[in-house]
Amino acid sequence: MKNSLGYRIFGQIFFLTAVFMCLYPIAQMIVESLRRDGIANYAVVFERVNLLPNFMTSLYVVGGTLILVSIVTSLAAFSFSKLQFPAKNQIYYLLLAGMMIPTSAIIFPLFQIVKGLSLNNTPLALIFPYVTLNSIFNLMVLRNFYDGLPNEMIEAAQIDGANYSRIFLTIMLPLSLPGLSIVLIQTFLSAWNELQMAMTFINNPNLQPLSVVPMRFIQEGVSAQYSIAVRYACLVVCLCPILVFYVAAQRLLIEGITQGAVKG
Amino acid sequence: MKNKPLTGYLFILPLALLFLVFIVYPIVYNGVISFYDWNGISLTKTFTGWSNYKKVFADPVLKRILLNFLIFGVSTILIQAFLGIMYASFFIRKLRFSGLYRIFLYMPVIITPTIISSIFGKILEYNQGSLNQLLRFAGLDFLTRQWLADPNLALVCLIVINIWQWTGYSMLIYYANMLNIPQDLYEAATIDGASPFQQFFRITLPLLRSTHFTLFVMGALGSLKCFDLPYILTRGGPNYATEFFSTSIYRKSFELFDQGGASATVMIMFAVALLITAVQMRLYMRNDKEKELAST
Repeated sequence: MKNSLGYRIFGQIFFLTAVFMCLYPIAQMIVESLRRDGIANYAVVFERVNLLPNFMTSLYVVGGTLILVSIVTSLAAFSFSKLQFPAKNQIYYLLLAGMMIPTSAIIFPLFQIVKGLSLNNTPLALIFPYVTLNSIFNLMVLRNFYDGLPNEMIEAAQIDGANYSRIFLTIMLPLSLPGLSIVLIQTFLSAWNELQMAMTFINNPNLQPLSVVPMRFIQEGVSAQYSIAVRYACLVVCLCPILVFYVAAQRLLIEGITQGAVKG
Repeated sequence: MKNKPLTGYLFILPLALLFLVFIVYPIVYNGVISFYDWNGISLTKTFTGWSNYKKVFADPVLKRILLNFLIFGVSTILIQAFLGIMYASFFIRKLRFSGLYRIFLYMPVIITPTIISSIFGKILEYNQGSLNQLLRFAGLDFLTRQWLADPNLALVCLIVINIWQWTGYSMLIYYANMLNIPQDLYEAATIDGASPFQQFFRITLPLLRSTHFTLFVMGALGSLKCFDLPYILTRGGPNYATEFFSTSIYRKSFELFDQGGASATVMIMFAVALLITAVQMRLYMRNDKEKELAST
């Protein structure tokens, strides 16, 4: 099936417009950040605003979340896919139903827990809720992946006398890495970008994750000391890590979704 | 391949524990608190029965919240589906540079919402914002507006920004599922003399039924959870024009210290979420059944 010339021209114009609309806000942000003092605005960001502690918080929170999500979700996906136990499907669907829970429905009780354990202003306050929400969100993706792995390998390993922990660690986990990578990319994005819990559980502005930092520049009083261009420069700096990540992970992410990691 | 049931339970234990502590417990907690008058801080709470619910239901803001949720949800779901299908149809016919376009159009999905809100806040600002400047430059001064401060426009602005961010997601999901439609269906239809439009409406759209459904459910839940955009850009204002469950609950808990009212609102939102999930679960189970049928 060959596309007609008219179709091709219309298509290109259509997509160039769409891409322009997508990039315009980001381009404007970059242009504004260079107003007046040019690149010197960025020097102000690094010297006076100093977002390094915020960046480190984001890194700890996301790192911890990724490690725990890999463990928790892999164990559960393996069990739901390859093991038999009573009430398996009921438990599975109950866990999946957790996806519907909005953050606002759980934030106050969790805040009480965090305060009670004196975890506020530490990365730990965010890691455990993030692990829970992301594990549930990604459980189906990983379980579907395990469903596609052959059972024969497990049976063969059992004949050789391996127990389930051995089978999980030495056979299934390595085979699940392609599925796990999608899970980890999605978890990274959602944990890195989360706002509501981040700004509530960590209220010291110097320790808040990068996702909260732009809030500072919307409240005029706090940021009046910096020019508008510097504030834009801050936004660009906040955007950089996630853009770098996207450039690195886009192939895996887009191919993963296109190949049906998320079932429609 | 037989295992002891205990083995299966042990493997799901970590997730089940997290689920109980971080999801079930908070919901139950809110359920209990919704029957008390409590500011969220003091050591004493007063049991007041259903009075929190009565107050929330008597408050005209609840109607506004439900209406905003409906308008926001329906319009974002429909427009994103329309654009997503349109993008995907071009990709499926292998338009040149499709791969590159996918990367750019998906990008807004991954950008931190606070950054997106900050940029759009600046674009929509009255004096310096580039939207109004563009209108003035084009001599269309009469069209300039206080976009986010106008009760009639604020919600529309949030809807547009949300569509800007999430269309890439619908695009990719539609594309993924269009790839699964067997090509020989189209070949057979072409031989039978069906036009491209007929093929689209009689083959493509109906076969994407479960995709529409999945995106509908995800869009509905996303609209219910909607917090970042209204919280940053409008704080639910002007005059509750952009109030959502999430912003209302957050304000009651952390700004007005009316935890009883906040918890009652949580339980109402939870009921709406349950309704959407009931629909979603039927979909999953039907899919599973189809899979079983296909494998036998």
